[in-house]
Amino acid sequence: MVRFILNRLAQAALSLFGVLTVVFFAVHIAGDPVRLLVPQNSSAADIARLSRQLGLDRPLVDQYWTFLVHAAHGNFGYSFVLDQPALGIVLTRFPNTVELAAGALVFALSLAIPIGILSAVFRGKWIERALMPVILIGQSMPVFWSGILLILIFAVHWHVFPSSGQGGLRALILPSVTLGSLSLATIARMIRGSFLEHLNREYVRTAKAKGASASRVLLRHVFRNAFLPVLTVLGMETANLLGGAVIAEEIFAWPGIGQLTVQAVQSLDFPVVEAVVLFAATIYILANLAVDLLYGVVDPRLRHEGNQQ
Amino acid sequence: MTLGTVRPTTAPLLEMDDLSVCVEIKGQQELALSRVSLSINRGEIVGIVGESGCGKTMMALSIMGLLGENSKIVRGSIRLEGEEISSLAPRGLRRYRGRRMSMIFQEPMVALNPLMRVGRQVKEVLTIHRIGSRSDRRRRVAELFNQVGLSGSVIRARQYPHELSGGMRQRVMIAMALAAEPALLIADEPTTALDATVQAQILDLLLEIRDRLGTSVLFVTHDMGVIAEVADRVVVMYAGQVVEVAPVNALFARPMHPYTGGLLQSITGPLSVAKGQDLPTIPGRVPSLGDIPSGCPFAPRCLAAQDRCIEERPELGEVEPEHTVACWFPLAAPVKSEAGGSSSIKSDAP
Amino acid sequence: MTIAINQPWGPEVPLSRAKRAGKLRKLLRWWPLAILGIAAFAAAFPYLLAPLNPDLTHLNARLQGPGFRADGLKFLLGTDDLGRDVLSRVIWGVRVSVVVATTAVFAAGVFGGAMGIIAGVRKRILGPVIMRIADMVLSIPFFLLAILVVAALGPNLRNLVIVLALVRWPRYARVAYAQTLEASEREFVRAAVALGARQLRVVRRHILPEVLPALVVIATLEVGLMVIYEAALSFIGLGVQPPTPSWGSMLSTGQQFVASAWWIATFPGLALFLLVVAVNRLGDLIRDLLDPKGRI
Repeated sequence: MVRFILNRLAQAALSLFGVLTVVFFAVHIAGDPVRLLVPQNSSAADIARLSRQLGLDRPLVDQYWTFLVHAAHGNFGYSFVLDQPALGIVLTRFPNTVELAAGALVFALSLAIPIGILSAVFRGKWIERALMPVILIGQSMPVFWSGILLILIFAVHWHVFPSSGQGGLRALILPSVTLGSLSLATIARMIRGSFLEHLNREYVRTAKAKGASASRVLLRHVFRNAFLPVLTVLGMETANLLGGAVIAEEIFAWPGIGQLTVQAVQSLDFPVVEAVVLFAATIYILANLAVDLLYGVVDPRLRHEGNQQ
Repeated sequence: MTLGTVRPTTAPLLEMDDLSVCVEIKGQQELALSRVSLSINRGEIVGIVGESGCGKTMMALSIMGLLGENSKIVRGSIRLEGEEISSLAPRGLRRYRGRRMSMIFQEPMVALNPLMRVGRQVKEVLTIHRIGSRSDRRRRVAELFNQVGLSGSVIRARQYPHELSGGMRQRVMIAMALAAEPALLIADEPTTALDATVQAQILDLLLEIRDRLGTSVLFVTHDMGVIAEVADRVVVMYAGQVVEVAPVNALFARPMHPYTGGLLQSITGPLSVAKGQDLPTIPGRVPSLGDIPSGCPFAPRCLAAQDRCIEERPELGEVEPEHTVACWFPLAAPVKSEAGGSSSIKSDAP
Repeated sequence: MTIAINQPWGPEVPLSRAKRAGKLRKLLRWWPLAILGIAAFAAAFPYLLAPLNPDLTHLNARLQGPGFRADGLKFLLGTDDLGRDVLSRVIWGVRVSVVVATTAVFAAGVFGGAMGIIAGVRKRILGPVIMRIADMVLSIPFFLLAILVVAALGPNLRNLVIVLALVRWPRYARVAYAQTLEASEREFVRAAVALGARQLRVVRRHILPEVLPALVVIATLEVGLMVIYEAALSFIGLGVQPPTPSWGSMLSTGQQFVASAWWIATFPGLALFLLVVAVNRLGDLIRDLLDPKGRI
């Protein structure tokens, strides 16, 4: 178990390093980073000074090293617009995104689990035929359209929910539904696939041979086994939630890191964009690490991996 | 629970009568079991033998009511202790499964729930059928583990399947199958996936259980050697039909069906047969569903086949007491193992 | 041959009618092709379908609802904040979506596929390096990565394609890598190598045929995603720049006027949704066709 944890930790550290590397080279190969790091109306002298100051005239490898050292200290540069450390801005906005993402995940899971299981158990029956279009629609519905439609119907037309801003559960509902609908489709699909596979496993036949009822077979035997692979998808869904948050927060004026990203992009505040991406990548990696460790707790086969020798 | 009137103990425990099972393959209904009849007495071990694809497992599953969604019983009846079970709704059938009849499977590696401690899996049978109090159940599980030869039962019960060897897992399966003291135990190739020493131990265990508890066993295998060791009576199946039924000694001494003869030669000959391979003594393979000939299903592979075998299907008929065979030209004389090769079948045929 | 005797379950069901109904149903399953055909036509010849010039502003007809008439023109789906015809812009907007999505998928597929095959063939050093980089790219939430790179490169059509390809190639690389490894384990491929066949030849003759179907399956599943992500980038102002009509930027405008002019956002959104549903459904059908066992 200890070896398992250490192994996963090392992998996460490596991924983090990889993210920094990819971001560094993406930005540096893409163009002149100074142009991105100075306000738009800077003079050529200003740019040259900053270039020297930031060491951008030094060899790329040197710069890469400095970038890594700075990143390790949580230094992602300064926001031009707000004149604050970029990471600090991201951190103050982050709790709002967590709130939204949690709402979205609750919405997605509470529908995806029943939809996934029912469409697997009633494969080929009318229930499945009724549920599969729901999944297809959820998967194909662009967040920025469904969000606008929801506002149109529930905020503009019926005045049931506020159309923008944060505050209380009522304000959370529309953005959560918007953000969660894509995850809903993905997770429901995954659950359906996993249940279909496990319903045909031999241990299910054994349970039936014992005289177990259909619900007992499903809940006591299939559920835990079939849900394991879904955990992995949940970890990966954090990427969709963080990416989708950019759109959902923009539509609902939700003051999280997604809205921050759009604002930073529009005001060409590049250090903040970079900080958001690196921060989100870190969160994503940590979420997947958490899922891996959770696996170790839930699956006895992994728990004993280290002890067997 | 109404199990009907008390029946005399001489009545068969299980009576399968004229059972046909259809499988749907690519929208086509194919007959997988054709008018199979069989009975098992109390305390008797009946062996079902045949190559893979002969319908042995299909028959076992139809008794348990565990046929897949694409297969269904289209004709005939199955009675357990005098009660008709083939037409029961799932709810009614559940009272029998695990309690009056239970089943162990070929692959102990995958037949157990990987995320549940084995003790709990055994105990679940008692929970489902509401047998005993909570502490009774715990004691019973320990007792069962001892009974099937799993030493250190308390520790074993707390282990997960992946921590046990194949043989131990099959013992757990047997413990599970015996938990509610069923009258009938169906064993579907229970030793095929195990190595030879473990195989012998498991067979001994099954014999011991029959002797001690009087459990009837339906033993499905493709291995004539195993049949010789455990069975009292043997049913030979081919292409979804019963082709020969006889007490084990009579069958080995005087096989009547050419197919039985071939199966026997395959164990007495120099080569033992690996799983899924052609029998060296019988050329060709079992016909797949939908390709079963309209005459005697074995005719294309039979060295003694004549015109009549291809045109007309033989019915089961008694050739000597307790010995029935479905063949127009049954082998008359006993097959000697020394008699070389398959030519003996030909020369023995009339 | 069927069993002549013992058919105890009754006479054979007449199949002909059921079969014909089944055939029709099978044909109807390909409805996505109809939508995609229309989309392809609109992308190729938008001027044949669009009633008005999509860029022409009518200042006396701003924010007018569907069916509005002015200057002898009919605005079937209404006008936007500059008085441009929504219907015409929706039709012209197909272009950006289709062009960006297909070229991005093609670029990512070719690059990723090549990388995967190279990684599968050069197992010592180059392979692990490529696959490590692929893993790293995959461990960044890719929409955010795309935002970062477009922001760095500057938003335009070409960069949009480059960015989408850059963030999505690892998906193809992984599949191509797995398929290459599997294929090179095959007896005949090993034999070919042992007989001294040149590597390029082995790849072309034996590995490529194994890898291509898998790449096609992934690609069909990716197209819908690319359509959405192009629109999403345009939505936040990082896509194709105005005045070129694109569904994403139309939705962005529509969002500002959601309370007063619902049609501006609704119709491009509907078009986007229909295109994505059709692409996804087609992807599923192609997947069922090429990969019936769900291996990929």
